[in-house]
Amino acid sequence: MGYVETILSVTGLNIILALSVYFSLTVGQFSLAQVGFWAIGAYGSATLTALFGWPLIPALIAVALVCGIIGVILGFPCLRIRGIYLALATLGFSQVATQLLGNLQFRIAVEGVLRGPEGLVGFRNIPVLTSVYGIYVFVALLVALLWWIGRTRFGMALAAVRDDDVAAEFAGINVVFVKVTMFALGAAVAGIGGGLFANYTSFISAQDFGFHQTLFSLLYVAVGGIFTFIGPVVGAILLTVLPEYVRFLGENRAIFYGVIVLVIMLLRPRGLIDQSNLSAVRKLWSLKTATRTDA
Amino acid sequence: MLELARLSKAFGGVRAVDELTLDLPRGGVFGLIGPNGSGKTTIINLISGLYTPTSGEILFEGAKIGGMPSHRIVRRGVARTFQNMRLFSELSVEDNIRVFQAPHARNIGDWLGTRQMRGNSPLHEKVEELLHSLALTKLRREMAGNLSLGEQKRLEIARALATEPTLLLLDEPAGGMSFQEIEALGEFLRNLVAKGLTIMLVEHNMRFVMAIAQRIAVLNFGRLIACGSPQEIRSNRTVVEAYLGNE
Repeated sequence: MGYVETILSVTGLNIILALSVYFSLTVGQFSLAQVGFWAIGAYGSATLTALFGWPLIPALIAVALVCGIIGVILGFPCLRIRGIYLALATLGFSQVATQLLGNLQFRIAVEGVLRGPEGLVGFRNIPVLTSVYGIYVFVALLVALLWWIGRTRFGMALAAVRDDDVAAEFAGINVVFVKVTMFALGAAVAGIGGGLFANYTSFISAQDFGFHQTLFSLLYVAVGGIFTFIGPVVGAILLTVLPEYVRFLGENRAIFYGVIVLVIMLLRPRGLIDQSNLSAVRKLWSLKTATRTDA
Repeated sequence: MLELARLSKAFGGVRAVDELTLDLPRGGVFGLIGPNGSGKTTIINLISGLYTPTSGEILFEGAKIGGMPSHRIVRRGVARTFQNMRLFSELSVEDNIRVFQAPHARNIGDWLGTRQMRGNSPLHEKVEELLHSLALTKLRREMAGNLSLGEQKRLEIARALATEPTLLLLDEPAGGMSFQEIEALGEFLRNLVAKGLTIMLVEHNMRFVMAIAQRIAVLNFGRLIACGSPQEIRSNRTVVEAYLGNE
């Protein structure tokens, strides 16, 4: 695995994590549960592929379903709370899920070798069933899905719920259904992301799903912007690749990272990609199209 | 069409609506007036499902709707506007209207197809019709948050009509409008009534209510103090005392 390939893969995985956060943000719900679902997906897919010999795609579908169902169960009580309380509740879920999985010990003999999660030691010898290409195929599918949704009436309903969920209810939109659906979809996406992560790195442990990962999932979206799915993608790319360029700073890299985030938040509090620069691009595009038509 | 039977709503120790019984006939404009804090908006909030009644019943077309989720009430044919407008400020004027067509987007194609958003679909034609009838066509791509107060009021009405209601609850639609805009609004509402729509109108502009409503109910401290034609209400002593005070 070359250096560039590793960076590309990590970037792709971080884009998936950021987009999983974006799913619930499309309806104005700020979830910190994604790393919990990521861990469930990773341990679930690792178990199915390493211990039971499942191929990758069925394993990913299975973990997506499990995470989606947990998302529905968690989504309903989360509808009653907002803001900081929702963030705390979902963070609590993440911590419980990662602690439980991080301490899990369940080893069985596969072809004469004991395999499975070994508590704090982690889960080793997970079959490598995907590559950087597999990760980016899923990224492309997610981006295409979000682009498509944005062009439909459903996408418009999501924007309405995010803007004012009370008014959206009076538009005849079942706000509870929409919110829970997006929460569950975000959970399923995080589950698949976790599965890809486990079957790419071949080793997972509790440290991969710590609070820092939750914090990064939040930063990707906050720095990129929540107005469109392009925001989390840009945020994830920037905050994954940028630290690589300042490796010469050594231990001070974290300070540089913090300063960069702070500067971006001060200069563009709604993130790098917001309504204003999107409108400018749209105007430019329509101007270009009009010129072409005139010609 | 709409019956309120001994309807009450209490907030802690305050009874905003107190044992109110009203029968709203089909067709025409039904005015709901009263001094500030008399419970007019609370009644609209109860009918539209924003509040759950403390006691009493709300029957629409014979079915109980009190306490039902708002999106289901809308689908039964009751639409509303808000006194403090709740437009989707980050959506364009036409998208604000499109969102309110949700009750008529019945299949997966309507929700997840992109063709229905333009072209010749009936839903798209309805958007065009509403933009035209409320003089919003030129503003169709403008963000709702950038509109003037009068334009925002018109958009609120257009959105409510996009749900294709049989009962329209208007909460101070003329507030912030110029004289000419109020005249045009009155004409527009009369046309809607001529097409069979029933309107419940909460409004502080007495001249407007008296000119447009066929029946008027007057509230004070959440209680019904009078109900009748505009002429009867004008000459009702209890109503005059409620508004001007008792010497």
